[in-house]
Amino acid sequence: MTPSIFTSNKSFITYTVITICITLVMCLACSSNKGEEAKNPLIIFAASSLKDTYTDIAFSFERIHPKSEIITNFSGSQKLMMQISHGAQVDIYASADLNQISHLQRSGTIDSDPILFASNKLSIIVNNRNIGKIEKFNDLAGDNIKIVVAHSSVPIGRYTERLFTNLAPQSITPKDDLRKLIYRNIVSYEDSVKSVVMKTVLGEADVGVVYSSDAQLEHVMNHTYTIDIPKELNVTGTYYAVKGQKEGNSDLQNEFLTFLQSDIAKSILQEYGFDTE
Amino acid sequence: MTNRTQTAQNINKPSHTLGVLIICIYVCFIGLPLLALIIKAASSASVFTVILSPTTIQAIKLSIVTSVISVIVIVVVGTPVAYMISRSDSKILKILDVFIELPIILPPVVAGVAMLMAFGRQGIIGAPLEQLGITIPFTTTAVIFAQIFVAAPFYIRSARISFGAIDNDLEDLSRTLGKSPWYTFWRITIPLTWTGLTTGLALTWARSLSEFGATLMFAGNMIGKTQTMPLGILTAMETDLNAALSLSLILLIVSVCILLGIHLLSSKLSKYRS
Repeated sequence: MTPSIFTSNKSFITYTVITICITLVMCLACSSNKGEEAKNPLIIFAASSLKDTYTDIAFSFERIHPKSEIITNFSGSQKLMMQISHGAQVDIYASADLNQISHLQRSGTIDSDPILFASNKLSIIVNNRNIGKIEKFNDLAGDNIKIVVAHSSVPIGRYTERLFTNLAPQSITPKDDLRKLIYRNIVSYEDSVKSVVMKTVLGEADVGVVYSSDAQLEHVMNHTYTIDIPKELNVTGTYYAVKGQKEGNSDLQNEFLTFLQSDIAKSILQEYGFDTE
Repeated sequence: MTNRTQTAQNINKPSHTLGVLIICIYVCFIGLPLLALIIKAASSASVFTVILSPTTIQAIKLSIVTSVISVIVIVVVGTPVAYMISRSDSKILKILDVFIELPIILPPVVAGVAMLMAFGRQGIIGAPLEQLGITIPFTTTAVIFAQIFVAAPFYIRSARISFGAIDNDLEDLSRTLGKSPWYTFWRITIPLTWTGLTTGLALTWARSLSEFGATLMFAGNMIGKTQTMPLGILTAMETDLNAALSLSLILLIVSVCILLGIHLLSSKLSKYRS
């Protein structure tokens, strides 16, 4: 007969005590640091391309507003939108495209107007091991080249499609063929721009299409070089920030949006390769 | 069965109620999200269009093909490994035993990065392979590699425990009767460990089907080539929640079918063999 843990009274008591302890610990964990000086948290959901920039911006903001504490969550704009529309409570949502914000406004999740705070061009980055092999856009159609782009469900993926359409006509080969050849070389559609960056930097992919701000990061520049894109053919991604549906934090929300348009924030954005005009 | 009923009667009352209560909480905790998924997916109008869409069919096909190949490789390689570990006193094999279970506790993303470091184009083995014209990342092979890496421990662990639990004397007896080691293995060891092996098989299969993190990292996301069902769900989540729900429902159904099928087969075969 198998012994049950409930058969003896002693083990029953032990069991109950353990259960109570676990419950207590969980309760404590949930209602943490009540005793400390309360800091006012500001929850920001931001597009993954803003990761490095917003980390700096958050740091500067906290210095000006010592009582605030910024909590950031970076992911693909689309995924963040999904989380917000399913009830994630955010103070600020910064998206790499206006579409996501408009969607949230239509569904009634967000009711304030977004502000445009930065824009970003696209860059085609090539891993250093391809020096001499991939020098211009047409080379992307060559044999044995692995291109990684973002999926069209995230903003950069849509911009990438537009960029390829813009660039293809100026090539020597007929437009359709060049596009077809390039698309044939795409080996993966990633879910965020950071995955595209990582795979190109690692050299798993030869070519990646990313934001100019990503291409300018030091660790990216060490391993990759960029292909020139004529200014008039490049695609511009626009970054919007909007107040989220979280209530009771209106002052801090406004202050952050104002801060985004301040000279300090602008200089940080520019430092990371964004345009703020 | 009778054993359990007796035990139940022997239990004193209050703790029995507690036990029942805990079971109820647990069943609700696991069951409710799954039930919610089924209800939400079934009530969305697009469920059939999603299931019949070419993207979905390709994802299902790829998932099934890759997971079946992974499971076959795992069983062919894993069974002798598990048998050796359970029968040997060698220290090296004992250490190996601990390492084999490592992928279970490793976050899948770490597994993916590790695979890239080894088999990536700049990886330790990947770079020389690249010279020979063989590239693994972003191919269906990469999907299978990732699945084997994360799922194999489940089978090997289960097999090792089963092999360890049977009476060595039975195997020795067969051999003293002049039967070959192979005959003994097939006719004595395998039938005795059947339940453990199939349980391991089911777990491994389910784990390869649901493999996500390592695949995304190592194999990328490309329809028809590396986009398995979990990756398809991720991509669908970005655009259309209903599509993601329908795909999740299919993955759930496929997993349940595999688990049920293997358990049924296992109980039938063990009855037949005994």
